[in-house]
Amino acid sequence: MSTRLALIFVILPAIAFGVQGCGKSGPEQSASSASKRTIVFVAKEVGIPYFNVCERGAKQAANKLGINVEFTGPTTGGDVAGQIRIIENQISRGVNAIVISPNDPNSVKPVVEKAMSRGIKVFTWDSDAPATKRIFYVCASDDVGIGTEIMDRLAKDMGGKGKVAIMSGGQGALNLNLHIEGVMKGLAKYPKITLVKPIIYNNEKPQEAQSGVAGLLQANPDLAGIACVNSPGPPGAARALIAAGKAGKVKVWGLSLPSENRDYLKSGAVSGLILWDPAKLTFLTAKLVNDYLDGKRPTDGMEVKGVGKLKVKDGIVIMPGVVITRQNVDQFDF
Amino acid sequence: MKTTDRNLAARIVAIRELPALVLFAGLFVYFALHAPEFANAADLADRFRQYVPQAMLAVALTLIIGSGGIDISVGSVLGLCTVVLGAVTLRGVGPAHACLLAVATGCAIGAFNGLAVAKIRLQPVVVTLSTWGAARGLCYVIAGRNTSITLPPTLSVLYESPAPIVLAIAVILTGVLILHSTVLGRGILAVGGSEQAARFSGINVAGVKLRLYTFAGAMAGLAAIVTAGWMNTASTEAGKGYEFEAITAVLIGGTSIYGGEASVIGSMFGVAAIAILSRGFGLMAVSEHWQRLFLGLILIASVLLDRLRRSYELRVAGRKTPGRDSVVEVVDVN
Repeated sequence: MSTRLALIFVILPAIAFGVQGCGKSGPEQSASSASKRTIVFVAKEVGIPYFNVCERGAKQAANKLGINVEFTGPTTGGDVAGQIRIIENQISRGVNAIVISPNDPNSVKPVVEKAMSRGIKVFTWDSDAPATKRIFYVCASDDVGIGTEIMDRLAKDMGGKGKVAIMSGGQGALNLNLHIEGVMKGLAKYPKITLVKPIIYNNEKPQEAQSGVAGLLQANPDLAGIACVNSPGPPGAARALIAAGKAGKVKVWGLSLPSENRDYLKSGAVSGLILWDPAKLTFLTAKLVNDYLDGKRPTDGMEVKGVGKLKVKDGIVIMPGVVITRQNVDQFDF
Repeated sequence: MKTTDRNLAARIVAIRELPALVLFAGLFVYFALHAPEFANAADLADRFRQYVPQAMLAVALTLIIGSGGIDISVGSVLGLCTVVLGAVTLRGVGPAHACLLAVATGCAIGAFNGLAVAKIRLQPVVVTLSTWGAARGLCYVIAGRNTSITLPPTLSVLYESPAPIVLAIAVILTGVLILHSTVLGRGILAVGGSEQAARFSGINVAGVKLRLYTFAGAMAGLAAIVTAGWMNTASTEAGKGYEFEAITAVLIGGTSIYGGEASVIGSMFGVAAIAILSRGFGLMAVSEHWQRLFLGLILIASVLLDRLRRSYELRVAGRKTPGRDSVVEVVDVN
């Protein structure tokens, strides 16, 4: 009996293997059909809400532009080595362009150079790798500016005084560190607001966001506001505040998805979100990359339908962002 | 006739490395047939080179698991050694001394693990889970805002030379020699077979364990240097997930999770199988989630296979006892 059971377990991988063999034939064929252009997005991590929405934008772009757009990335947050290996796989496949949101801006330098030397165009989106030879970086609002805007909105809600804390994701992510820099810049404008140290890092995990804020509230009962610079922050903070009976008393502003915060925005546990549509950002990136492969470069002030006016400076393309509060949250379906 | 069949079967089952070899060869052939870009020698060699750190960790883990222990901290310790390497480089320490300091850091953490396991007799899983968390925490504390430091080119030049391969071969040979030709090696397997019996037969159990965990720390330090050379960066994210790959490789390779039986060469087949898996599936555009699932299934299958082999060997050993043999003879004659 137990031997038979064990054998089943041994055979299972073989079956999974076989199923994979059948499942892959679709994408592989389209990838290797040389006539169709292939752009591959390599995210920081796949399977989390933010990048799932990005993936939707990649699919929209594939349909609209009539090209092959793939979306991949490591399954573990902060997996630098895994991400580099995924990029190398794309180089071996000989795709036309690779768009990266790097887990570490410097570690990808050798692999970006390798890709470029083989004629594959490399771009960044969502998070930059400025030290590499990437062609351009597409982001929503500028990374520092968005942090400052979060702090400005939060300061207004706090009445310009009190204790404020900052919550981020992984300590190595360049874009998040730039958001924090922006928050600090904003903070300097409000002498009556003091910063509670240290910065809380939730490692892109909702549970850690919640437990981090719970601990923060115990240590600082007089906390007045939390600035969150990554997506699990605001809903995690909201849950901790509700549990502590402080929802609405401690103001929360941050970067996050409306779908994760709809109820919290309506109940007032989260005051507001500064945001862009990640699907739109990814769609725009795919379109700009596709244009680039056709020989068309993005220009400052150019108007893109459904996106708005782009700012282009020093290889950085900035897409305009939006502010989401309880009044307009229902307009957003992601 | 029947007895020789059984002898042959027993002899095949006794080859611990066989499943890993079959897996490696099977995957290789499968990928070579299904992904045309797979067999590109230069890219394949690059991938194997990138798995040198995991191979080093797997050598150390083969010895530890063979002794009935486990070390899940190696990935984080690797990260810590990388950060130390980066931090001292920033302060003007030359590459040679920086590397020495990195290895020394690994040894120190390894010795800490070893002391806790050997002298205080805490469970290896608990001890190394603690250092797994603490070492990664220390990474961020030491790094501060320098979460990604670009290193001087010495290490990446060395990485591109045959040095990592030579180093890997040296580590593998050391592992094989320790296991098969030294008193320590016999001690390792004796402790893994039965700690109490080993103690009664005069083996210095604590000494064996202390040396093993310190060796694992040293390997993490060495692997950190190779990782830093690969990425030309000292990143706080280095080594994330390496423990999973290294332990999986060891168990695929035929080392028993119960201790007492170990094969360094088997572990190397395991590492090689994981390396080509990450490349082959990537080239076939199979998602990372499927790869993880597949690896997980292979891991559980390996552990089950080990169990089946144990019970089979016990049965065969049972038949060899004189009393039983005569019974078998009688049955055969009938």
